[in-house]
Amino acid sequence: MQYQTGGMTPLTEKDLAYMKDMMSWELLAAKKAYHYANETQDAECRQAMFQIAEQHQRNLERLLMHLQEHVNQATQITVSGAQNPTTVM
Amino acid sequence: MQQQGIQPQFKMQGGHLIMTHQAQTNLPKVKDASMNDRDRLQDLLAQEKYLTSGYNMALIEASHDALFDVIKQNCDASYQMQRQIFNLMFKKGWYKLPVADAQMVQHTFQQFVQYQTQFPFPPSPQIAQMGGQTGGAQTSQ
Repeated sequence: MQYQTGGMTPLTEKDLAYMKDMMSWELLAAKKAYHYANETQDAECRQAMFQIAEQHQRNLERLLMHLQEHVNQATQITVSGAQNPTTVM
Repeated sequence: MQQQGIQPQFKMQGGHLIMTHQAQTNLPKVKDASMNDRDRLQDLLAQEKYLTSGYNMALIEASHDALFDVIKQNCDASYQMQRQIFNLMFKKGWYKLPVADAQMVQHTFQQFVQYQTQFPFPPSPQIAQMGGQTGGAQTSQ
């Protein structure tokens, strides 16, 4: 198999499975910390929880931006034995 | 991140020396089944532990460097938050940590200083000097 254009190394199945997992964890973490922040009466706890919620959102965004790079740099490859080129991301 | 410079306090409890911090909490006096602040932070802390261990697996199995770097950054952020939550909980007085017995600390130190005879490389000068100081004859391995 050979690359036709100079794209990035494609995600493996395992990479993608982890990406899905990691983004799900971060989303839940952000939502939960935000929910707790709104529940608590303690100013110090509230501030820490909002910070944590936001940081988890930033982590999720970082993963999403990395995924977007893969989507934007879809690469056509020719696989030996196949008739048509295949797209990888 | 924050909560720097918390001075721990020490007290005796049940024959053990306990390290903690003056409680200044707003926990309900009579606790019921509803979540309180301690429960919430405990849950967020457990969540960070879960995330860091998950990230650790993802990190060591990442196929390319760009992905590795992204995971590494998120993992570091998660470690930081774990620390932040722990420090806050400690400050709130929700951790009571038994202090290790000084003799046991000393014993462990001497034991591993003596193990320098088993080091594959010559011990660093500072370590070699320690061996001279302890001069222990009792090797336990």
